[in-house]
Amino acid sequence: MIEVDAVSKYYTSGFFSRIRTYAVEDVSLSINRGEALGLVGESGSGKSTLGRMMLRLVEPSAGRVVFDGIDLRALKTPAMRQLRPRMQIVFQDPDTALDPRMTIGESVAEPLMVWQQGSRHERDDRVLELFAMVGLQPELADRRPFELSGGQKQRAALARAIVLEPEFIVLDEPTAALDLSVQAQILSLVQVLRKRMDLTLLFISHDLQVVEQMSGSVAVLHKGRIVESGRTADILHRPSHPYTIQLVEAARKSEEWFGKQRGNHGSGDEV
Amino acid sequence: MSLLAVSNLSVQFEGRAGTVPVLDHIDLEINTGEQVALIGESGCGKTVFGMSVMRLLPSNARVTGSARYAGRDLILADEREMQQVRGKKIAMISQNSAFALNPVLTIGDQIAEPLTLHTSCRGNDLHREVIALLTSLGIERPEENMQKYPHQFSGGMRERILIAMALACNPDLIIADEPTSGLDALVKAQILELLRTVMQDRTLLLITHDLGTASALASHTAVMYAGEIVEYGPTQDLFTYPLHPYTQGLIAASPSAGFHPIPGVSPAPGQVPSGCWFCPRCSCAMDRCSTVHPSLKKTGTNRQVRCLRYD
Repeated sequence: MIEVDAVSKYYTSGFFSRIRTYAVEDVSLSINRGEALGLVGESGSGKSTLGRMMLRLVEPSAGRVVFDGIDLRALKTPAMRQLRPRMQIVFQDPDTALDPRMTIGESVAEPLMVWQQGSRHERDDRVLELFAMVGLQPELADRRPFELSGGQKQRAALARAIVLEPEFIVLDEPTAALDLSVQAQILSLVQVLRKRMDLTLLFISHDLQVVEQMSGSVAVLHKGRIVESGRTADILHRPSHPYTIQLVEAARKSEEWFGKQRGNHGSGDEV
Repeated sequence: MSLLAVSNLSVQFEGRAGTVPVLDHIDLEINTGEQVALIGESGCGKTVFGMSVMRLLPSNARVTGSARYAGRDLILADEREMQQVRGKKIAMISQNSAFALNPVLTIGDQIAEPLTLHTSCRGNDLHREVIALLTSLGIERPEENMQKYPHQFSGGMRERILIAMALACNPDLIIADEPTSGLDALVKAQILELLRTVMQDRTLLLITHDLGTASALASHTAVMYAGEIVEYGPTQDLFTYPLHPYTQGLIAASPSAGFHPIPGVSPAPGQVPSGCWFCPRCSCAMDRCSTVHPSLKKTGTNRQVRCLRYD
């Protein structure tokens, strides 16, 4: 479905721009249709830059991005525009992802307006249908982002991302700003949507436990390079790169504190 | 011995649309040497609780009830008294290290500030004290780093700096509000490890939504839902045998339990349903749950739960 081939992104500085700082360096990966790939790495490792390059929201400095057999970098702007409805992104912070001056309904309907799909009536119906799909009450359509909770805003951002029925979605830490219980709701919603719409996903996160839950395979990014990739279960049990080992270790430790406190997963009925 | 005894604490905010209740009759006791975690979803009132004890709420907040500390009621204390308490007796590690520090002061100056205000430490002694604090919190090259400004540090380092400021005057009680939110997995593990070490013999009120953080740091845990406490007990017992359906739901939603979400959303302040406030989202609600509001009852030796199933 989507393939990244030796992609780099660097920023130049200094005399005659001779100093190059690499955000992403020589990364190759591919995701098959209907599959989900987890992209893990610490802050500043280049996860978001890579995700955005896959949608050509950030222009790669070198390498190829191939979407469904089409080399994205070879496309001129109008052709790229025609391709855009097939790929979407959900950002980390739902607060800044929605226009504060638009109602939630308008935000979700905006892609339909841009692509001039349907009459006004049909668009309204479609918005309500999407609201039902992502679990938002219909009356929230007339509210503005500040009136919604973080979880509701992220549901709205998801609705907006799927309104044009894309094939590929980049989820850039979609639950980092959310509470644990809300995170669980959003993650299970993403799973449902993925099955229902046969979506291909790039799931960006720094949390191994979340990635384990969401995707069968994972790539670990460290300082702009992929240091390890493969099946999520394999990497979690036998990490080989020092950075991955630390990451697995950290996850295991917090699990251990929690596990120790919980004993053997008891339920309340025994007291 | 109880260090801080909060009883019957309620907070309401006055706005154009009328009064909005945020905290409802909270009773919570923190004994010397205990680490108490206050957990719950965002918007349930955890932060407001910490702020009301510190008397840092905006002027449209109506606070009733009492918070007894060292023989006085902090809710009734005047601003001069509170200035003697804040930072010296009760210190706060506030949420979001990016905004909690002053961007135009070096971190050395900011760590020295509570010491200059509350102790007679000056000059070379002050300098040495700041360096000792930075070193004890794992900040390398303290001489050089104390000259830097907050934006020159990473999130994890800023968190360490906030902890240093809170520890500066060796306070009786530390209130830590989400000390690990916004940090990535590795840094979070480091900060937790550090907090475990420095909080071991101290009294801590930990405000968090992260069950992992609570279980790593707290000896006791109080679970808050929609502005009231629904369960309280020793952390280990509470996480092993959660009594309240909400606590059970929170645990099921955690990563290690497989992210099973609690259906629905918590009620907005002032829009709680009749009967038990958790009833619409509860999987084991009974008929009378929608009419009778349960009270917080003692069960066993040291547990408290607000649920009709345990009446």
